[in-house]
Amino acid sequence: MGKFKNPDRRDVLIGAGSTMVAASLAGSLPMSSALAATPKKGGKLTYAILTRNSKHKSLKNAKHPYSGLHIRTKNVYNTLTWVDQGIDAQPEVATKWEAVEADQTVWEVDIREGIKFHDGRDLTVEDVISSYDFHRSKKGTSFAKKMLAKVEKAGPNKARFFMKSPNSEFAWWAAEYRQVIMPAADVATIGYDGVGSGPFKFAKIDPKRSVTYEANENYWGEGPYLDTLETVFQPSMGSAMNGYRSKQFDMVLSIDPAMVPQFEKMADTVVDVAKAGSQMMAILPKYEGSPFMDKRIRQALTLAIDRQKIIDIVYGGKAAWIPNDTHMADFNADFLARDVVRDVNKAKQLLAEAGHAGGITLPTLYYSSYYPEIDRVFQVMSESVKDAGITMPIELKQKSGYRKWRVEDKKKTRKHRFAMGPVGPRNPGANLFRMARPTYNESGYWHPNARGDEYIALYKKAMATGDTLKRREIYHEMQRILQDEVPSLFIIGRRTIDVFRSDVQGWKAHSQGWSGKFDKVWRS
Amino acid sequence: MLVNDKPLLSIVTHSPATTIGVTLVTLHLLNAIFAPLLIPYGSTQLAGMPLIAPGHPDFLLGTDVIGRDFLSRLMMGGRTSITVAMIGVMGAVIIGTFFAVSAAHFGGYYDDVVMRIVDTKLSIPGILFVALFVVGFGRSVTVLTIVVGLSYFPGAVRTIRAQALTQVPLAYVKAARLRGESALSVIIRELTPNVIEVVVVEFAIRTSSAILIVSALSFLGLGISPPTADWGLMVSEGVNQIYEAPWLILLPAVFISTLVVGLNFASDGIANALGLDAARGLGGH
Repeated sequence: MGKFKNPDRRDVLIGAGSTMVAASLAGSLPMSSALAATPKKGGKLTYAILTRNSKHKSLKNAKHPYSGLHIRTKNVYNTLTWVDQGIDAQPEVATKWEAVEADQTVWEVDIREGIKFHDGRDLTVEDVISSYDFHRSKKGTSFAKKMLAKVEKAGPNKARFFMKSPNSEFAWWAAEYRQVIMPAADVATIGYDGVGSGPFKFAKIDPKRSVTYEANENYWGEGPYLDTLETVFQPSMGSAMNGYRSKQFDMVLSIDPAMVPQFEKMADTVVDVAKAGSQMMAILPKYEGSPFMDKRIRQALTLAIDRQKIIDIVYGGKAAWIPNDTHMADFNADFLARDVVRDVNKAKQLLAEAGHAGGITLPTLYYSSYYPEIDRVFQVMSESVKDAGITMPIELKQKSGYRKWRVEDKKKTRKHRFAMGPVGPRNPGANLFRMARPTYNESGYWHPNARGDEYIALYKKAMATGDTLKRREIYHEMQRILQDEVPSLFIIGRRTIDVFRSDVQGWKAHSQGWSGKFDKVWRS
Repeated sequence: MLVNDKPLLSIVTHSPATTIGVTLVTLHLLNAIFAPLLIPYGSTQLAGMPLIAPGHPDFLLGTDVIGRDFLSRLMMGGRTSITVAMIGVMGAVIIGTFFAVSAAHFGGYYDDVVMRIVDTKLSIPGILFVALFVVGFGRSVTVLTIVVGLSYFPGAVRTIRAQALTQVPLAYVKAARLRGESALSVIIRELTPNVIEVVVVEFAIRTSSAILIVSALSFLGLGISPPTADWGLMVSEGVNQIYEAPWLILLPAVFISTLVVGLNFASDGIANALGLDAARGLGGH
């Protein structure tokens, strides 16, 4: 029986007060300052976001955690656990979690006592069960539907989770931003009233544009210190920048790295860079006639990209990292860096072996405006692969409808076009899970494939392995397979950059945009 | 060379504005044609560090946000816009001329149907029509050319028809009919040559407007796709750097405006020289 406690600092962190310890370990200057000073209550903070949830369409659904203005559900809701800036899992509604079966399929979770919903009701095990019944229903989240079999009450304050397959990283899975705890209700209505147990309550909603929150005075944890919190969507970096200059906003989240020098020149402004952030990946469609059926062309393409040049030109030499053609982020302790970052001669040799000694023209690579700097990333990439004789036209598509469009041509492209998709940074299990699902959009559709079968077997083994170091060996083997097969192309990883006024205390840029929390943020 | 019994030189030097306009347009066209032979770097080549200011010995007009030579991109930046605008408007004017002259010639229901289609199209805001079309059919050069043609077709029909209506009652048209010429022959051989000046001026003035539309679409992210050098796209790429690197916006804006102003000066001046102001509803200079 493997209690979920890894022989690393997570052991120390799980328990009372651990969120503060984690914040100290994260060790940024703004956070350290915040801890040193005494938080002050009151005031308002308005922050701008550059991407929004397309489901935030009307007041009818605007409070639901699945269709909020953006994925920062933590303003209003709590999840069982929380992933901190170091990507360690921390207690939230759950105070303890433990695998009660050696194969990591059954987990018991202790529910925190004394949590009240915004409507004054106590949060109970029944609410946890009802919430997860919704999350694993047909309308639920992908992670919950695929992994969770059922949840049952195991005691007055204890819930038992039965997973469909082993999941040694349950605590990270339980922190997924949509898997929030809501007051018990039936699957059809749960969540629409916007009642959560988080540090803020909904106060005013302007669908598609802004949401105003007010402090939850009965919050169970530390904070909130702010009286009012406001989120405003901005369609472009330019308008967000102008709003910040004119003091309409106190903070802009996930800015364009090209704007950093301008923000740095502004008085009373802090530019904070997270440990990591999302990746940009491209599915390499595999169907008869596609050049990507040939592994050598896939390998040549990834070897031809000058990722360091992308970092130098687009990210000022620092605010990005070099991916390893897997979904793993470089802050993951289990990340296995590439042996060779770029090798143009090898790329040419592989192309020659594949019958393209004179170079190759690839199909158009499509992308959309998920990140403000994305145009520049793709232009530098397209230019850099020319060194290896690869011509790769690129085309920007409108974001509206893009996600559906890129997986639309099912018959011809095996469900996906040669198109970019965004990848959020998660724990190793969740990262590597994506390539273990043959039908998953972001798997690269590399099945049937003997090495794919080997990969899936390794994934299953890792998920049933409670020991962190043993899991790491398996994870490394899985990454070696992916780096050799290149089922999908991972172009660049970004480091999330937030900017805010220097009187904003307690905020730290988070690699997982959705996991940033405002409960301990205050204005000095 | 004579146009409408007037020497070409006297037409293009009709007024200082006309001369300036013709000169600007000529310079832009020569640049568009010969730019690939003249540019110091490839227009998409990552030649230097990002945001080098103008005046650098290697990069006369500096570099853009990803280190491409800005002079090379400016010189290449008009090719696509000019091509799309000219071919699109030429198509609109040629097809529009046929429908306009035939509507004027036949009159009746045919004229009513053509003009109601024109009115319907004119009731849709231009930029909205173009944006919806591009979103629906993609943003390739072919699609852009077609949508420019469709956008300017109704305006061309209306103006050319007005000129054709002044010709239809004239004796030479009646004489042609009495000679037994077919309707198609009257339209093509008799009427069209007598509206050609309006057609030429219409082409020039609509082209300047089309260049603005194509640039606006690129600026909005609905036009020409990166990494192609295009003035509207270059303005869009530089807009966030307006405080740090204003030349990224100003220089392409200067190129767009000199071409558009040049086309407007030239077309107005030529129309004035040819005495076509009344037909185009202008008061002249």
